[in-house]
Amino acid sequence: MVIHMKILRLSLFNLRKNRREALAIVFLSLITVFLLGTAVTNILGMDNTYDECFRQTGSFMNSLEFDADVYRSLYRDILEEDFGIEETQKFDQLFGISVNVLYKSGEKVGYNIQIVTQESERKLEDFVMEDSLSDDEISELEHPIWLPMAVHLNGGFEPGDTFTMIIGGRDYPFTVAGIYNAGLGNESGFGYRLVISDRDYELLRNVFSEQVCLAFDTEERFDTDAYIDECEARSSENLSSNLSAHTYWSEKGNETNFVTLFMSLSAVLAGVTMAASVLLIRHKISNDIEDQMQQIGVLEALGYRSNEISCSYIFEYVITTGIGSVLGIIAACAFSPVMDSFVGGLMGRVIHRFPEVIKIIAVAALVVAVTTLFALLKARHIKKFPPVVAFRKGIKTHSFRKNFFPLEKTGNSINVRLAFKSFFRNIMTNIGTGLCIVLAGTAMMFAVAGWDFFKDSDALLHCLGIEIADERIQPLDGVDAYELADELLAFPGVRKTMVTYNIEHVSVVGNRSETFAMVYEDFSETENIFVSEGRLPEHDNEVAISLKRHNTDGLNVGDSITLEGDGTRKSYVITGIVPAMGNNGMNIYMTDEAFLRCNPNARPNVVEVFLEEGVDRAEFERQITGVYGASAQDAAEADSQGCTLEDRIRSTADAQMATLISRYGVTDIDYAIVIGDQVITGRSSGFVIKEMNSFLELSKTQLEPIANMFKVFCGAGAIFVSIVVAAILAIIAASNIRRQRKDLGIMKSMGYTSKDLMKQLALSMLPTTVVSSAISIVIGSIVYKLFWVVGFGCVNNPNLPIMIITAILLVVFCYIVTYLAAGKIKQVSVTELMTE
Amino acid sequence: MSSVLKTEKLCKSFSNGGVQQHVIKNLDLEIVKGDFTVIMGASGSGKSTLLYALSGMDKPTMGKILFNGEEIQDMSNDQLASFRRGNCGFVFQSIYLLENQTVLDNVLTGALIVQKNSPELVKKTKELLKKVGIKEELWNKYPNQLSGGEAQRVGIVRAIINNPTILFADEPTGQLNSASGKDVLDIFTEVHKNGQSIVMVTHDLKTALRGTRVLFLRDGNVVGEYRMKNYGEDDMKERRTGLQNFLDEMGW
Repeated sequence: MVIHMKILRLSLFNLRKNRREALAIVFLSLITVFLLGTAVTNILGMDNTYDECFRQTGSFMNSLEFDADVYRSLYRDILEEDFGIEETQKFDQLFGISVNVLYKSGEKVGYNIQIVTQESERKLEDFVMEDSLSDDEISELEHPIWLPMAVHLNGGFEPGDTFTMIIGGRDYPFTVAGIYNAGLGNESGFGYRLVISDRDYELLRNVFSEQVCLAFDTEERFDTDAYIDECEARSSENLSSNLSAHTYWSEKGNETNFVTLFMSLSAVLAGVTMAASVLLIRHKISNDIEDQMQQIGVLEALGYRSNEISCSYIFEYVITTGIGSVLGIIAACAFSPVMDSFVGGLMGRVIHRFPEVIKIIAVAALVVAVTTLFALLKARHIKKFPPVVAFRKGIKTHSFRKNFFPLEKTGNSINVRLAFKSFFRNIMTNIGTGLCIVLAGTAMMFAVAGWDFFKDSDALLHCLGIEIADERIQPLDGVDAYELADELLAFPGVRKTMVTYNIEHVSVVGNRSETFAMVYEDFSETENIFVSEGRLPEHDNEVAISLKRHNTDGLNVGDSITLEGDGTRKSYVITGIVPAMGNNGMNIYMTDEAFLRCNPNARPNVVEVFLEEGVDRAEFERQITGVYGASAQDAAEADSQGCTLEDRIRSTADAQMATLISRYGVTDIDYAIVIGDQVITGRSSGFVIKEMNSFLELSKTQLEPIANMFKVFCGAGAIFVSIVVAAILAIIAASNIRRQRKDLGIMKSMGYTSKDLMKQLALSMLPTTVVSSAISIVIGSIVYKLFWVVGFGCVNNPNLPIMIITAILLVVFCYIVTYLAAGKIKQVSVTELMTE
Repeated sequence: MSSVLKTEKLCKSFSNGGVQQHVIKNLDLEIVKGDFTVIMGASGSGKSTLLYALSGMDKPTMGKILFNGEEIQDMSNDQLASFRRGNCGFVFQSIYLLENQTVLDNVLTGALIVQKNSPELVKKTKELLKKVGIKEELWNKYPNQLSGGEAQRVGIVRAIINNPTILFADEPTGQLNSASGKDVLDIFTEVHKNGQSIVMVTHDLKTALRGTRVLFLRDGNVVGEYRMKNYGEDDMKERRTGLQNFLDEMGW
């Protein structure tokens, strides 16, 4: 016990003596525990956190949403009879794709939305309010709307604010009556669920598509494919493109994917810091042993066992990492509300939870244990030095080393020569240092490449593997899409038009995963679809597949794939692999001829319009409306308030026609109305456009927050790694100075200035940092590419010049930090250095 | 004879737990060119402290140090380092060779901070090493492969390679056996004969006999001075007697 107290005192003495290094290790441990603790608790607790949020909404776990015109009561029966669902709730909802919403900032964004009445909402879930106006205030609102929490968090809408949807160039203003916690319908992909009054719902029925929803609970993930198969078999209807399944599992996946991703990246950063700390501690122990070799010899001569002396080194790191870990635990707990807010922002939910102290403590204990283990392994080297060897400063000084860079051949600068001598003399130490810098440098390269990519908020659009038209126009049935495309091309500001099909589901035979067909007449005209391997399809027996499918199904260029469309199975040859993030990366690319082989009844029904740079989309929509009239959906809802009686009658007639066209599939209408001696006639041929939306706006809305979050994360990551690198180098420099202080003193006595010696120390690190930075570029590039391929199914090559510039900056940064850290030499006089 | 080094009211104090310890007190001293000055005194009398202050390795607390007429006491550490390059050579009691460098590199490390590398410089280094008895096979050895005497001889070559104005030596034979000590002192004598000014600290009578002037330090000040003619083997008895008498007088 007495001996242990003495050893502990020795450790404390060493810590006091090398305060700065101890503080740096405390800092690194703090950061490691903070990041790792936060990441681990969030990753492990994500399921429970989400489940708790979801449970509090009282929502059903599944919602099957059928296009209203295809719904049959049979489908509900199948659920109950064949799938054993005991309780099913049926309600109606409206659905809109890429509806423009006006943010408070004036910015226009595209939302997928579902609209329900309060009654329907209560059928689906408990309609739990987070914040709302009073009942009296709500009763006075003309157009109240209740928004899900995600819209509140993304758009900053508060109760009492105006929430405006813009459809067909027309504003639909609502007043936010409340913010509620939604179970389903709380994320951008499937659409946000907005709750409105019955009166407004009736008004908007003509504007949006109508759906019938069946909500129910299941213990396990609901097998939608099996359900669709059963429904199609019993109804002889094609349901795959008319039914979407919205489940707890799919919503959870969409909401938590990015949280898990960010937390995993944090864990990687923590891992880098920890690995760097461990390597650093090994380096420092090695230096300390060498430095204190004679003292070790004296202690051994006095009767201390080598194990006991090793303990003095281990205690040093147990104490420093222990203090750092305790501070890390405190930081992780203190920042827990901030992290909850960050995670909640990513999920679109408000999270209330206590910090998971036990898990964070477990992480901290792990960090201390790992550090101690590595310290122990290194400190055991003391065993190799019995007293006599230790007195002679160990075996090292008796080895016959090669004399690198003999001074006889010195060129212009003695400082450079001595620095390189020093580099080769400490090659093993430099390898350790290099490993630290490679780890940190790789993280930095990744962060900088990510930041560079995300600094352009549209960058993610280019990874979608989907054409991003400015305007996506769906003509009415019976309208020739090709003719419409030619007409639209003649509009001022239109750069290009392409005819395609509404995103169609096809099935890969033998594989139940959802697949989307991207169909174009000529892929050489597409602008956002690229192959990473092979080529895009050209003939009717060819398809290209997405990278994700290539990875998951093991399909390659040259393989065959059988697709099933409208009940027809056809075989195709795979000609290329397309990196694609869009549609969950499960796309199939085919020419229209190829598509028609498995969907013989399909007709092109979408015209994609690409505007010239700088052309305002809203202005273009106004032009379209001016020529073709409003879209059928829009006209159906338009006010019947013309100036004259005839205007009002025409307007009402147009609205009725539009309703018939947009909701009931009527293709041709003529009318004649006799009022007194006046006959008012009209026909539906004026309606050409069924629906207009912007995939570009929607994609931007969905991707921009992610891009911004990544940009901030990558920027912060790069800064964080810089701090870690600085701490590493400062410790190494301080440790090197301490080890070499006698030599430095001797050199000072010869006339070397502090600046000369600082330069030598900094230069001696240069080869290590140059090589490490170069390796970091290579590893960083590989990790970055893997991140995109594995994580998102798309190929994203890092910007090499940026990485090279970063590497150069890293080298310069390392040089400056080492130079400044070596400034300690200035404070020590020659005599002190030599005789300390 | 011209003065190369002069001090005026030189003081050096150390703070020890808040208590000021005055090691050098108002010391006036002059070192003349070509002299071999030996500083003697009891342990703790301030010999080494004075040597470090005179050579610009440590800053005095007060007073002036004039080196060839230039005041050096207010120079920054880096200015002092630059000053030491050409003006001072130093031989230490603990030898202080750079352990990670070979014999040749140890000398060249000192040389190349002052002079540009050249075949002449390397030749001169090798000649000096040969002259002090360091054989060629030792030139690429590391300090721990040398005997104490060999290491100190390398230390002397390193100190004189730049032809310093003054060669300072702090107990240069303190860690050597008598045979090695004599070899080292012979080198000092040889160097002095070639016109080198030397200031040496020692408490050893035999070592002090090599000087031309002996200063006795007590309580931080010079309390006595004894002059001798240049060293010669033949007048050893006379030199020893004279110095012994002086030291007795000083209470040695």
